[in-house]
Parts: sequence; C-alpha cells; structure tokens
Amino acid sequence: MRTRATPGPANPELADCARWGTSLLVVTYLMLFLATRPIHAQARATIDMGASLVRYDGFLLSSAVTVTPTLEWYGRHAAVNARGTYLRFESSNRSVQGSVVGSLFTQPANNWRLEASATTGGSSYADFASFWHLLGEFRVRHDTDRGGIWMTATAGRTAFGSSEEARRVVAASVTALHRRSALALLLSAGRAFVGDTQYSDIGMTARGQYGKIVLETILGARVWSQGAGHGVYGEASGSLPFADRWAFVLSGGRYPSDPIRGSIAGRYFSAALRFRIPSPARPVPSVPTRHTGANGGDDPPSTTLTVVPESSGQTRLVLRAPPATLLEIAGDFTDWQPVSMSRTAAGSWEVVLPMAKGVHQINLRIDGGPWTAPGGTTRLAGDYGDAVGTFIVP
Amino acid sequence: MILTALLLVIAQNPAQDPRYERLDPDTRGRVVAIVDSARAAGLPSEPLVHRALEGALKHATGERIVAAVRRLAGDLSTARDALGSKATPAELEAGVAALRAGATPAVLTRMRDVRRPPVTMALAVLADLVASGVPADSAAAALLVLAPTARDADLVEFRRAVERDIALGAPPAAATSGQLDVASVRVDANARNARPGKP
Repeated sequence: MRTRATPGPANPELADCARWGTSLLVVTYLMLFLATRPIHAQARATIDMGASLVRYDGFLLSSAVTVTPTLEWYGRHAAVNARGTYLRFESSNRSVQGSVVGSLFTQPANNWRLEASATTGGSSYADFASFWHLLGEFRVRHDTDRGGIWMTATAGRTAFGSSEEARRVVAASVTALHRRSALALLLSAGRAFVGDTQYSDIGMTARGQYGKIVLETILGARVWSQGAGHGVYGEASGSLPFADRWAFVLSGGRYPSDPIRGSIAGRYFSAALRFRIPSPARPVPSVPTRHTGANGGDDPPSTTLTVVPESSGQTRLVLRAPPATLLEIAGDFTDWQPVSMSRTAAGSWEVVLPMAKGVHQINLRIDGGPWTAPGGTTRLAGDYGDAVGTFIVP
Repeated sequence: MILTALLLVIAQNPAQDPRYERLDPDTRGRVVAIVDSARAAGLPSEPLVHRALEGALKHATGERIVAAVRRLAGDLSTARDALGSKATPAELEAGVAALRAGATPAVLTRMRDVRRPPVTMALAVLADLVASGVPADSAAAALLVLAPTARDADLVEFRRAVERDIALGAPPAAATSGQLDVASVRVDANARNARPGKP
C-alpha cells in the first residue's frame, strides 16, 4: 500500500477551502431536499467544519482544515448514508475522501431482517494518490429487545489508481449490539482478505448520551495480520449541542490502516463545529376528524382538540370548532357528565380540568347534537355503537 | 371531614355511590354486582363505573350497559393476567386499550418485562398507534424496541411523529418503522469513519 506524502510548510488557502465547503453544502442540501420527498422517509444532513492535527505513522505532525458533510436517509425498505471529508493540509496539499452506502432491507419477521447494501467510495491525496473501492454486503440481522446481532459477508474490489490494479476484497464479520439505558455497546469481530493482505480485527464501541452530551469511544485491536500491521487502537469523540442546529464536536485517537479504503494508520485530534442542515419545510397539518354538528349540513365542519398539560395535575383542553353556541365535552375525567367549554377571545373553546397522566376518553357535543370524537384525538369504536376519542396526558 | 366520611362510606358500600343514580334501578343492581365481583377479584372498579356512566350519558339500554361493563371486566382480567397482580389501575386500563386495539396478552407481558414500571404510557401509545392504523404487530415491535430505554415523553413524541407522518400521507407501518429508526441508536457501516475531520 502506498503511503502519503508528508504535509509541508503551512500555507492554507482558506478561500479555496470555503468554496469547496460551500459546494458540498449545496450538494448536500439538494440531496436532502430530494430525500425528504418520500414523506415517510427520515433524513438528516450535517456538515462539520473544523481543524485537525494528524500524524500518519512514520510522518511528521501536520495540521489541516477540514470540512465533513454527511447525509443519512432512512426509508421503509432502504437507507442511504453518504459521507465526505475534505482536508486542506498546511502544506496546501488536499485530501478528499468520500463514500456512499445504499441499503435495501426487509421488514422484520420474527425479529429477523435481511439487508443488502452496496458501498462505493474513493480517496485522493494531492494529485498523485487515489483509491477507490466498490463493495457489496449481505447482512442477516436478528433484533432483540435490547439490541441485536448481525452477520455480514462482504465482497468487492479495491484499487489504487487504475482499475487494472484492482484487488479482490472478501470479508466477514459478526457484530453484537446491546443497549442499556442511555448506553449502547457494540462488539465486533471480523476478518478481511484484500488481495494478498489479510487481517483480523476485534473491536468494541460504546456510545452514550448524558443529557445533551453524546460520547463515543472505540477500542480495537488488529490481532492477526499479514501485510496490514498489528496493534491496538482507540478513538473517542464527544458532541455538545449549543443551539438548535449547532454542536461542538471533539474527537481524536489512533486508528489502524484500512487496506480497503486506502488509508494508512495514524493519530489525530480534531475540533469542529457541526451544523445540522435544516430540512426543506414540510407542512405539519393537524389531523381533524369531520364532525357533524346539530344542524347537519352537506359540508360538516371540522374540530381540533389540543391537550395542554398544566401544573398541579390540571390539563387545559383547547378546541377549535366552527361557530356554535354551546360546546360540551364528556369523558372519564368528568365521570361522563357534560361539561361546557368557554369561548376564548381568540375564537377557540377551552376548559381546564384535573386529569391524571395516562390515556383518557372523550366525546364532544356541539349545540346539543350527537356525541362524537373530536378531531385531534384517536377515534376508537366505543361500546355503545359510536366513536370515542382517546388522548394521552403525558 | 364530611367529604372524607362520604368517601369512606362509598368505599365500603359502592352501591351508595351517588353516580349510580344515573342508572335505572335494574341496571344499577346488575352493574353493582359486576363491579363488586371485579373488586373482589382485585380489579379496579372505576373503569367499570365509568363505562356504565358513559352508557347512561348516551342513553344506552340497560342490557347494553351491562354487556359493556361485563366485557370491560373481562378485558381488565385479561390485562391483569398479562401484566401481573402488581399492575396499577392505570396500567390495566392502558392494557385494555392495547388489547382492544389488537395487541396480544403476550405483548403486554413482554412490555412489562422489558420496561421499568409503570408501563401505562407505553401501552397507551401502543393502543394509540394501532388505532391510528399501524398494524398491531408493527406497533408492538416498535414499542418493544423503544420501551427498555425511552422515557414516557420520548414515547409520546414518537407517537406524535408517527401521527404527523401518517397525516402527511405515509403508510402507518412505514411511518412507525421510519420513526423507530430515528428514535433508536443507529450503528451503521460508516460509523468508524464518522469523526469530523478524521484524516
């Protein structure tokens, strides 16, 4: 495996770095915008901007300005994870790394899930070293109440430079996850064959959230290797959010060489600001149910109930409803006695009542009409041939 | 003092509960018998009384009220068997809601086993999800993953997020699955390279 050049004297071109970062931001935002179009999917994009100190094994310490965009997208049967890292060393040399993982997975069946994924990525340093890899993975997962275990088989190609030099990649690993309270513990063991290089890694990742702070540590060892080095490694990182979309992130440690992705072993420390890119605005409508008032009509008005827990066991029920003279509610919290709501200056109706935490049932009556389930509650079939609304007081 | 004495009298003699006066005499007697029997079996009586009062409010027939109260007593018993004798009345009520939504007694038992009590909110959210159209097994699987570590507020937020996605047009099962992935700790293949600025 080729090693990288030693970073040279300080000469950062911050303007160039900023242009690169801006381009990444735009691309990431576009990807996020497209990713959130399927409504049921979940997407998250961040960009880290910071500085790193790095010492590759056998080289001098160097510093770099870094930009690290990430994008995660999770849908019903698929997920995409894209990540990039741009480094501008004090020698003014640039390093670019990127990878994209796409996964297809089945829905759980008796806690088993199958996943197939494809990974592609590349890295380059200055204008003389570039790697790429293309991998396929098949994973069998078994989820448990507190974690799970999965077995992964990997096959693909990795190359330095042209595709004629591509080497075969075959790997297998077993991973176990255990969650306990705010802590997640991941244990893994795997063996990889990359051309003539072979190595076995074991590792442990612990991830915990304590208030707003997220801490993660990785400890591992390359226990058996032919051409990929030996040794123990470890990394740690912590993030502290300080605003709605911003967080401080510190990380550092020592990592082993990665023959698949073409990186050599090294030590590093980095400090960065993480910005969570806002998702394109999506409407968040209320979920009113249709309610036919006492006067009926071809176009029945809708109602929306909002539950606002207050102090000392009191709960405020606020109802938006069409013009009416009398609005009454009844539920388990009123011993199923009708209670009139008061009209507010804002045009809504409300009442404050003592209510215990938990699930409650409610019906609404407008101007003496039938009892119905108000919008904004979950409608259940009642025992008396009608619908009852349920809501939760947290 | 007077109120305390009144409550004591009611507690010792449920038939004196003034709320029963909203039922006709025949229905009242049959409902009181079911409530007394349930109380003797260690089941909470308030949900049964409420079910009868709901019927009275809605001018249901006596037969229908008695049937509704009897059915609820049976469901409370099933929930108690699943959740254990230490389950609180609120947990049993939430358990009944979950059972009626389609959860099995085994799911209730697993919820009790994986979550520190009370499990009221977890069961309430489970019932709510199913009532929103999420398949019972999907909702149960999601809640059983979250239940060991999530706080009640997290579960309520999870339920709101699912509701929001359903309102936006997502299939309920997909909304649940997607929100579960967001709520759970993720471990992905790229995690090792996730350090900001890692060279």
